[in-house]
Amino acid sequence: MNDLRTRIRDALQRVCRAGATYADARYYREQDDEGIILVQGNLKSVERAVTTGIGVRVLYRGAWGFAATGAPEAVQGVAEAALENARVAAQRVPYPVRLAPRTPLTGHYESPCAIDPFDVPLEEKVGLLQSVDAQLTRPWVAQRMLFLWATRRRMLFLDSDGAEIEKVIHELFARMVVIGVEPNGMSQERSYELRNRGVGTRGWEAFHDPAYFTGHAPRVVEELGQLLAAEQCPQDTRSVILLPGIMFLQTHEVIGHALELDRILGYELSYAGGSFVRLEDFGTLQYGSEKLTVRADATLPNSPGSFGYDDDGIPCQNYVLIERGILKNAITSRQTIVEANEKAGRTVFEASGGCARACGFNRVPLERMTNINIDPGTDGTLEDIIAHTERGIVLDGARSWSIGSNREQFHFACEIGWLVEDGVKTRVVKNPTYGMETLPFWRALSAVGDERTRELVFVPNCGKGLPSQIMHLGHFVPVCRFDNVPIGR
Amino acid sequence: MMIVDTKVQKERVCTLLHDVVRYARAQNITAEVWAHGEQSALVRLANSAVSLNTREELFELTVTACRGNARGSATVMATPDERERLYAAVHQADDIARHATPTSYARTFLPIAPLPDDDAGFDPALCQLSSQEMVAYVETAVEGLESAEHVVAGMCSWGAVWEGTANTLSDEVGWHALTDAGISLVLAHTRQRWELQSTQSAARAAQLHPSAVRDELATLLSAYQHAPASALPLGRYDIVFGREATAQLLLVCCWLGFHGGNCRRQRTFLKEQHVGTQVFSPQITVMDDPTQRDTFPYAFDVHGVPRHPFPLVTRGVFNGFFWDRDSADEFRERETGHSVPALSLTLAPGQERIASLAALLALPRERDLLYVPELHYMNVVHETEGIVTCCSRFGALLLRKEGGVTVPYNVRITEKLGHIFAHVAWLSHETVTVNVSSTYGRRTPQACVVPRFTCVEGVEVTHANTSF
Ligand SMILES: [Zn+2]
Repeated sequence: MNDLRTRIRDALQRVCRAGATYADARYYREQDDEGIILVQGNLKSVERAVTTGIGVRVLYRGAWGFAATGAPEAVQGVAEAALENARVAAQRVPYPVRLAPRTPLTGHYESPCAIDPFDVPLEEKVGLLQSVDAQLTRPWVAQRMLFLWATRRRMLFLDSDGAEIEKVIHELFARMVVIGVEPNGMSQERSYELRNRGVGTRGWEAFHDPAYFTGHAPRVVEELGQLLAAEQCPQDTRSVILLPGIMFLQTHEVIGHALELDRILGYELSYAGGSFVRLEDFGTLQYGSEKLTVRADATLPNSPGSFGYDDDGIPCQNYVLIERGILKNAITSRQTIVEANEKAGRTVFEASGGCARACGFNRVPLERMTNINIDPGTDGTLEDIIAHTERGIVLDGARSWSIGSNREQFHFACEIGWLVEDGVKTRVVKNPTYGMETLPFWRALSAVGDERTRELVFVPNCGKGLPSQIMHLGHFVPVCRFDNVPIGR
Repeated sequence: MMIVDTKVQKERVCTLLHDVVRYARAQNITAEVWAHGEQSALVRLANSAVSLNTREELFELTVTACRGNARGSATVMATPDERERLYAAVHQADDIARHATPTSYARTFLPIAPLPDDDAGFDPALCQLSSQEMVAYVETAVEGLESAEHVVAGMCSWGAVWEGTANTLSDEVGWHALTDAGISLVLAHTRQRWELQSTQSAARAAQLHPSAVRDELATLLSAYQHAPASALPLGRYDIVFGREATAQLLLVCCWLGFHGGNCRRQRTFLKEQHVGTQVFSPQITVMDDPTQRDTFPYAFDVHGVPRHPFPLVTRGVFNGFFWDRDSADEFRERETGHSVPALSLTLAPGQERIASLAALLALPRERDLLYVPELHYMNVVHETEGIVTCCSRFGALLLRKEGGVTVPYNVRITEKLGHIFAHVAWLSHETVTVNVSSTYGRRTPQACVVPRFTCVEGVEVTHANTSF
């Protein structure tokens, strides 16, 4: 390991002597992944994977080149290939990349984990899923599916400025899904995924508290039964009350992605899309109502959106994106803040937000969400919010999400809805949907639940970039209410 | 960078597979093995710059051990020469299978029959293409179109995969190698925020034609520069889907319609009772056709089951579901060679002789036609009803019945797939290949062959933007 470390350092220095202005390497000493799938009580698959490799990123005359291999000993060749790629890229660089200055750090981060899931016997993991499966087995349930994923990454980050950061990251995800069939042959679905409140540790012990996952099975099954007998969600305009099981995705899609600075600068235009947000909007745009305060908080101990240091070597931070409705900051990296400030003609971004992350050694860091959270409000519990709603619908469970290419409008389908009439939750409706334009929606935020309503929902599958990357992150969000939203379309 | 001769690579991978199988047998372990090697390159563009130029080389071995009806899989990334690390995967897979619970249904595990080499899709010239040459392609494709106001974005992805399958029940090894390229170039207006796109798919270097990309971008650019822009009223439109949109609809229809396992899991709009009945327009004929070289086909699946043309829909009649091995085992059906990383979907052409965007614009028409080249962010609102939602993107046009063309701001389409494929007005006579490869995870080239244009009547527009 120490020998390889020295060789990585040498390789980075060598490409800098050959003309590169910066180079970094991410060496994945070992990435372990395990996925377990239980369907209808059958153990469909148990898959383990061990990944090792190194990726080198080189900046030459303001252009990026990158190369990666599954054979880390070949680091010198990889660094040279990255430099060669950067030389080719440098032929077409109207705006040379520059990185915001920072002090190169030496550091170590290990995400808190009491019981490493990879040390837990397979029988125990399968046994946990089987115990949940038994609770999901009811006459009205046609399909039962349980998923468990664990990852453990041991990574070393080195750069040509002398930074050296070691990280060990543990992550654990779980999900239960039940499907039922209505008499007319149409299906309904209800699901729940492992979540928490941001504190504690990230290992197998997450399952010790039934509130995080296992204890939800009876409710999930019960609600599926209600859906199978429910009437169709009406076409209407109502207040929508979003539970954390859909509020996280609302936040993710039309705040998180819209505020990625690389998107705002046009780097995702040909694929994931742009953003309606412009550089001149920072500091002035009324993004939402006064009740909306949003932060990027990578310091929550127990979340896949917390990782110690980003892949630019910047320490994790907790900072405000939207304050009392006003847009303040973005999801940023060393590269994009320099370009954005220059294009804006003023200092919009003081420093990198520490949001540059790559999903593996063979991908480059991009602006990625950390934990994009909504501060708790003063409108009490879910029951309090319902009691103060005249005509509304409570929504939960993400079934479908589709967003305009500049994040300017959206359409969500949820798993379940409960109509609210004159402050009382009345009946369950099936196939609820809602959609609107982004800014009018957030400006219609009329109630934010207090700390008791907040849940940290994990996202194991955020896609972005080319070559494409799947990122893990989180959203710590309260129950929220938005007024005059079209539903049922 | 390393350019690997496919003969050398074949020797290396097939020898490894034989060795792993021999090793497993010596340990009394029953297993199947899948090898995946790739060389991937990608040039990404944004704001007229090459924003990223990458290249990677990876090799992985997946071993699935079988103990009765229990299974365990282990994947290790290594080089094909690191025998000890690769052999360790055999033990790890077996250890998982030993501790795994058997399924309640019987699981198939069969010897592999002799398979011909499946490497006709490998083109050394495409494998060896340099990023310098790819940047030159881009320069030609945007020549004269790019300006301070119209910036270039996009990506050029190309590479090669080398794959093989073997198991301990036979001495056969299946060998698969191919090359692929997917190009997507975008012209974006810096202030008005519209984007135009042209794409190209290639299985061989000789299929890369930047002039075709340029012609399409130029036609769109001319329309966008001269036609007035406006918001569309909501309602039903006759939509001409471009090739990318058609391929996207075909792909989602595959998982939401033709997938046997998904059907039994209550996740498809086509059901058993639809087999043998007219479900779509008589103009619709869909195949999974591994003889179609441009689709980056597999001649056998991961279990070594040979693949053959599989008619899914013939003149609107649904022929039946396709089955991967595990779903077929669970639901006691016969597998159809569909345990495969990517299908080879084709939608047969029609009669309409419209071979270019310019020809479409010149088409006399009795009603307004909304041209939608690509669908953005499609998602499934309801599986068993087959409802999807998505947005228009990359150069939509409204072709007015009186002859003019206007530029619509992007719209949201929410519609049943059953409606879309049942209400086809016409399909163009010329087919084109659309690269639908995902660049998440392993390199998995995939392409569909579809008519250049597909016109569908009465598709619902449920939201219309009021600006770019
Ligand atoms: Zn995302």
